[in-house]
Amino acid sequence: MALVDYEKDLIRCEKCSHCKYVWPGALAKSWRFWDICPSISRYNFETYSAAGRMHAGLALLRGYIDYTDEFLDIIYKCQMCGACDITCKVDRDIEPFESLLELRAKAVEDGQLLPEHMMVIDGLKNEDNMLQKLKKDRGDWVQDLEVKDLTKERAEVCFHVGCRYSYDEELWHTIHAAVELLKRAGVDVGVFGKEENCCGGRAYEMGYQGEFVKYMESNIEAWKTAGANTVVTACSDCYAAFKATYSRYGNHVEVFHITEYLEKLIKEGKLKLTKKVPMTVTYHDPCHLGRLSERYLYSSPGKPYITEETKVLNQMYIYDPPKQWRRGEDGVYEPPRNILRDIPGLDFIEMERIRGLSWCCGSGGGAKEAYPEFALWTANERLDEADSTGAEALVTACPWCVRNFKDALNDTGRRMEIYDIVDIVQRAI
Amino acid sequence: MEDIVGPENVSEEPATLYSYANPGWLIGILSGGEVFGPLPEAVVLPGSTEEVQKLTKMCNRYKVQFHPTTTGWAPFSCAQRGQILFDLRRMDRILEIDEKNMYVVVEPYISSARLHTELARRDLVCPHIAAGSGCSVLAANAACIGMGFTACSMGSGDRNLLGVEWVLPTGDIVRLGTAGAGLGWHCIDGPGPSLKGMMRGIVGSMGGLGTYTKAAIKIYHWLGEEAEEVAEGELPYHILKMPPKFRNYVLTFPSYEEMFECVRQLSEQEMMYAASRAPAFMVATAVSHSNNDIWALWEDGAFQERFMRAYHVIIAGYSEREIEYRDKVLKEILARNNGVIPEEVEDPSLQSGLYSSACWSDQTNKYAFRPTGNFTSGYTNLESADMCCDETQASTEYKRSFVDRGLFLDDGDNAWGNNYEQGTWLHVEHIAYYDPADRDSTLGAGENFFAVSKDLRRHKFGAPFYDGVLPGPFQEMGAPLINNFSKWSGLIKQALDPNIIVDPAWYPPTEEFYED
Repeated sequence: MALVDYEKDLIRCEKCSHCKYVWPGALAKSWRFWDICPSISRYNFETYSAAGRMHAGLALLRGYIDYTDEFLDIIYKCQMCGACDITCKVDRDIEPFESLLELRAKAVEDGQLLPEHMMVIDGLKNEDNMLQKLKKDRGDWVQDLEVKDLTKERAEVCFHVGCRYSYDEELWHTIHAAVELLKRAGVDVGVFGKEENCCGGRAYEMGYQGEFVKYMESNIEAWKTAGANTVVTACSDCYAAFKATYSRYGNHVEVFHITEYLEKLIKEGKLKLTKKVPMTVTYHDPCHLGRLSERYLYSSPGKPYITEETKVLNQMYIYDPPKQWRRGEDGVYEPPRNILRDIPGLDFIEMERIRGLSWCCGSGGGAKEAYPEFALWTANERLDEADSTGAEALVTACPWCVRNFKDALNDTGRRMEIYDIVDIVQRAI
Repeated sequence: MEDIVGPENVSEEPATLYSYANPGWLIGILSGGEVFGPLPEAVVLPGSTEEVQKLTKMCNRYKVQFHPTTTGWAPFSCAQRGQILFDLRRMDRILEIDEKNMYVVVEPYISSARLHTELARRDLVCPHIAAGSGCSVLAANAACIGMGFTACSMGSGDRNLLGVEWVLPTGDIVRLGTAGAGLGWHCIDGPGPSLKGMMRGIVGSMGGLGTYTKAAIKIYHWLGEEAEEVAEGELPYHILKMPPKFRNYVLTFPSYEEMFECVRQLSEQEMMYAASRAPAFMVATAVSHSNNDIWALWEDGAFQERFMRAYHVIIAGYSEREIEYRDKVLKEILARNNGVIPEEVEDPSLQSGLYSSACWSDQTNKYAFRPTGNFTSGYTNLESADMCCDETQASTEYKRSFVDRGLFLDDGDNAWGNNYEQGTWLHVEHIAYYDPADRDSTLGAGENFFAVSKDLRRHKFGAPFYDGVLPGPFQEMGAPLINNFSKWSGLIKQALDPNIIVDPAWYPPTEEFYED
């Protein structure tokens, strides 16, 4: 698909503004935590909302405007968190998220590249990761961990670590814990270590669709060769890439997020949560684990939906066959919560904006790479919300969220513990 | 402008300007363009009354027009060519909640839903306008119409406005009523400066008389629950739970005469908390989650038969005894007018949809925009129950001339409406859905604006409402029927805005001014 394929949606967006705040209004709980879109919350001009970008995209398609530095900022000062898509689709049959993806793809295709993103993509092309690190160092996290090497052996489950976990040494304890938990539960698990490649998801969301396809094909081939029928990952970005973005191209990957897999193991009695963890925590729903993780149920390469618009009653547009709308309701919301509720001694309090209406951590869509101040501002908004619950710790399920929250804490000096849910589970074993 | 508000709050970036040009709202077609409406020259984001004042004085100094806007729903929010747009987004605070005197003081960008989050924890509520609870409370009550589903118990926007801080077109600041006398915000008519009659009537100034930077709005007791208990299920399939002190009804009737008479009687008895016309297509939309869902309900024709001539009513009471009393009165009046309540009303999805619509104004965008992309208004009026009844029966025939040409959705009788002032007048607004991505359909919607006023006059269905709202040829045609109001509003405009600095598109000076 291309931006021009969404032209009708761009016109049919009549700027109701629901893409900016918690919607329906009845589900909002306070004045303070009303907003849902970090971009317009921070920058205020209408053009920073989904509606504003859609209309700017329409003006670009019609040739009324051209690219400027400021227009590129407008396009890319967005974490591609998908909150606008959820709130819009409560009432509308249009595709804000798809439109914004294609606006970015068009900018890249037209050669309108952010220097910061170019550096990241060059790093991806040369070293197969999104952190501009060396490929040869990717497997360093394994250290002395006894786990199957999928380049040499076969295993039922491939534990995909992802770029952030591979290179962010401060977070290694989480993936070490994850591997130990899987082994303790008797899972036949292996890792690719140094030979693991990027999922390609973040590159896709930055507009580099061509680069993404290469990584998608490479990963699918690697899993096949290793005999891994199941992929488990502790990175929500990777999870959404494998489950959702790969499915845009007709690929169905049997993938679990670590929270889904741990919940399954706990239910099967293979892991027992017996030690008390006396802590008051709140939980942050990662965008890519929740609302962005739904598969595209009918798709062909490059076309996320195989359906045609037709009209009935003169002017009402419907889809034939009926479109399987992605509206976030099948995201992974319950497994992390079930785990937290099962941990003895843990007091779990929800924030206001949760599940499909979760406020973004600030890290996604290339925002952390190109606009670090905006990424940290967004994280601080979420930390304010976590603070407001009275919790002493914020638990989440994605290393990009953990990293951005930790960076925001370092930036502001505020006190709050940040954990991945795997860390909490390990404490309870 | 950068000196006044800071460089980060001013933009001339073309992409930004287009994001304020409201494509798909007819304004482009009607102003001679294509999809987009007119572009402002620049957009500025003031953050305080002082900044609004400085910007206003600056515009007078340089003879540059401006248009103030808030949440931007509908084409009234657009600036015209050559104008600066004041986007009041940064002014979004709740300044005061006076529980004893039952008012709030708000800045322009607070929506009624956002305000409700803070009021609900105090068992209070503000009126939500029918355009949706994402719209500005201040704009709805001070500047632009202000009708809603709770008007039968809370009145319309003009009734709920208790005070205003107003940056006049010259840059002077005035506070109306008791606020202007330093006595609090509880009465816009005084003691204190009383200019409310100049400021707004039923329609409001639509941004044409300067900028309202604060407003005091009347609030009411909220008989519902706090947000934590409101809903269950995942979006968009969530179900809003009916609070125990509310009852939800859809009333259907064998004839329009009986329907409107029943509504008039219920309104006269002050029985309703919220109400609206509930035509079949609207009910189908309320229980659907996509256009395909709507079509599945609509295709075989049975659904629309069950909800022909339907009116949605919510009653609420402080006590079980009060609720029982209201229920009894409603059913007595319903029976006298041969009305019935269909069984389908018990469906939780329908209960949720109708409750959400009437009490939270959460469904409007679903009704207004989901089916085809946008809507326009056919027969629209504020009139007696009998007149509204006659209009309703004639309106489907009027719309047929567009439906038969394939320009509008073929949805039969479809209208919004509520009742006001103990049934002394009702609002009916017949809906015509068009597709803004279809040029012929959009041109048809433009044609409708002129045709509907003419047709209402032909039938002598009172003074067409949009002749009071839309300037130029509409007001020329409609004003003689309404005491030549446009001459008076034009003189007010010229008195308050001698340089014609504030956008005159929706609030023009007199014809003589232009001739001079």
